[in-house]
Amino acid sequence: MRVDYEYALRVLPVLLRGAVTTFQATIGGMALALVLGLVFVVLLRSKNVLISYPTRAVLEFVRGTPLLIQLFFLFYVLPEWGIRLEALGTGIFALGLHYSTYIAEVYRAGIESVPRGQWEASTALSFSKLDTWRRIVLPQAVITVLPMLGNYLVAMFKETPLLATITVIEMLGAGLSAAASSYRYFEVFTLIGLIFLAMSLPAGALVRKFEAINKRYA
Amino acid sequence: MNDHRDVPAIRFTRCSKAFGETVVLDDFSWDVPVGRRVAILGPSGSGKTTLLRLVMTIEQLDAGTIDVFGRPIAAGRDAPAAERLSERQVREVRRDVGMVFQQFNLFPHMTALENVIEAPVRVLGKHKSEAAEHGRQILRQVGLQGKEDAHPRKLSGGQQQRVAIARALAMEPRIMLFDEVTSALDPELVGEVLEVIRDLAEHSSMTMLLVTHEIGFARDVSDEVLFMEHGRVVESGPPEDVLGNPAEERTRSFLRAVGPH
Amino acid sequence: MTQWIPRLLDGLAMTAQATIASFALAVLVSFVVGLGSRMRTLRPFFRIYVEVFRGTSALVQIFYFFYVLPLVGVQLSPLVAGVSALGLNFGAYGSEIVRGAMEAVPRGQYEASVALSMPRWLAIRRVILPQAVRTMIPPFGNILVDLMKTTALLSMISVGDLAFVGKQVLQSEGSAVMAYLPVMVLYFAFAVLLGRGTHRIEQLVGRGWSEATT
Repeated sequence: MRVDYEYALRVLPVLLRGAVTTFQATIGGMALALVLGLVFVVLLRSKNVLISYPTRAVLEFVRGTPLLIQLFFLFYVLPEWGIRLEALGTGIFALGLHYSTYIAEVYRAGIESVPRGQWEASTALSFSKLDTWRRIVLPQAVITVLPMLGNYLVAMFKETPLLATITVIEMLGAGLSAAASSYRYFEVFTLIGLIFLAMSLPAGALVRKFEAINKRYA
Repeated sequence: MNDHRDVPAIRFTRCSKAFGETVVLDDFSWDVPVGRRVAILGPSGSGKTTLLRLVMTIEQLDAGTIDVFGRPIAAGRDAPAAERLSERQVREVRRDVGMVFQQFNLFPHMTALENVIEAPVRVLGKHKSEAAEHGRQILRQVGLQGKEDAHPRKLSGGQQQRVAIARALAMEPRIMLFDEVTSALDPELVGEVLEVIRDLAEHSSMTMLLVTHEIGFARDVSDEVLFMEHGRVVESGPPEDVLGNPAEERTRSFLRAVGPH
Repeated sequence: MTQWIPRLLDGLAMTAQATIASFALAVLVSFVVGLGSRMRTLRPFFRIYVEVFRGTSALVQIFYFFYVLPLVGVQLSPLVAGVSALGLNFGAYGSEIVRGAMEAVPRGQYEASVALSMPRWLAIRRVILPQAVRTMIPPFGNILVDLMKTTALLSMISVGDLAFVGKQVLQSEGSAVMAYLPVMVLYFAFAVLLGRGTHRIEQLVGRGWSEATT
């Protein structure tokens, strides 16, 4: 097999344009997941079992089924229900929903990582509930939560190629359509792999740095 | 074996060891005659535990050599290639040495008896039934009959430490190293462990190095006391001298600090 | 709808088969790499493997095995290509689990092994691994469930698994709810089953000696 470097150079801009969509999907998906996760964790912590139990069931179900199937489901069902989203929008929604179920657990772990004594001390000092959260609990929880969120961000980034299966022209989608006519699968997929590595290696290193800081404070 | 009268059980020759900036052993030379029981005392950080760990080859020597019964067991990092020891050589020599740790370090997934017979079976190649019989006998000797099939977490700290002693004895070492074996124990459990060691000292001819904070125990069991500070020997001699009438002021102040005995 | 039931079960069987095969490969790779990383000469190669497979996307890896390997003369069936890609992908994560679990065994355990004159590999096999394995089971359980869900990607290279059958149902029935609801329920049931299973194993291993199982 001969490597066609000239073709590789030619297809690179196409892939990088796809990478822009990859970024949009990652950032959009993460933003949605952060917000939805917050909603879920509030419902999950509800003292009313009629709220907390069904929430738990929904989270378990979403976590227990493949993202790919959820993607297809939303892509085909939403129009049946009269909701028209473009493919990228559907993709972001699916990514956000799927990851929000994990991120809800991250939030929960973060909150629970703050020792009981901190709550008791806040009560003893007559802090308001808002102040307790704002000044005592969240600053401590954030340290636990940040690296975990970083891990999920990187994980989500690596799952964006799934959006290619619902016609989104992100990096993999762009690569597949280019390779379909050129048959230069080696060049295309190797480039895609390298671009992913170029992004996720520094990101992973950053997350590890956060974890190290975290350990120092723990 | 070269069991000449004049070959020491352990010979330290110009040994040095530092952790980063902290010097824990400084140009240390010392012979331990065969059969000698040495109590090693000193403030924490004085290098006494490191001394044992170097003999056991758990720590790497920076400079100098350690010989056990005339055979090299450890050499400093700076030793010429010809003097560097192979893993196999070291293991050979190490069989003569047993060690009991402050934190017991029992294997949690094995029962008391399994802990004791693991090395005799796997390392010495003893037959399992033979090792088990011997193991039971040693466990009886340390007062643990009936506990053979208990996992370590079901045992008290004192019982665990006695299993650890039995485990080391099962290898039939000629030298035993005891590293602050009662420091991790609740006060009421210290006695039973010291009793086992006392018994051992009385009924065997093993060479023993005991790092301890129990001054009374040191006086009873040892026939030499080594007082260390900052990786150097401050003074050494018979227990009645070093403990009863220390020559050095630093020894005196240390003994005062750990209380009357 | 009922005429699809046998097809769905076939798909489930294929999903199970792909899951078991790629998990077996992943565990094998995890131990080889996790233990092999202790040898200095091999460490850089294993490091590169782990970073490459963790740093790129599972779907891209599957396509790579399916489309690129034939170009260099390696012809694999879709199932074998997919299982190899997934096994190596999850093996990269698993090797970190093995490495971490070995490092989590207290230093005193190594020291006690040295004091008993055990050769290194004997100590690893008899003392360190049995304790480390206990720590590994929950994270490997997570990997198993994750892997099972990820096998759905194999439908993209025409492996006839549950996801693939879902697509066929969609194409002939035209209803996404009808096509994917049963598929999702089956995936979920499988995930729950695997989760329960690993939990049982976790309880069985280390019964009697491990603090964590009381």
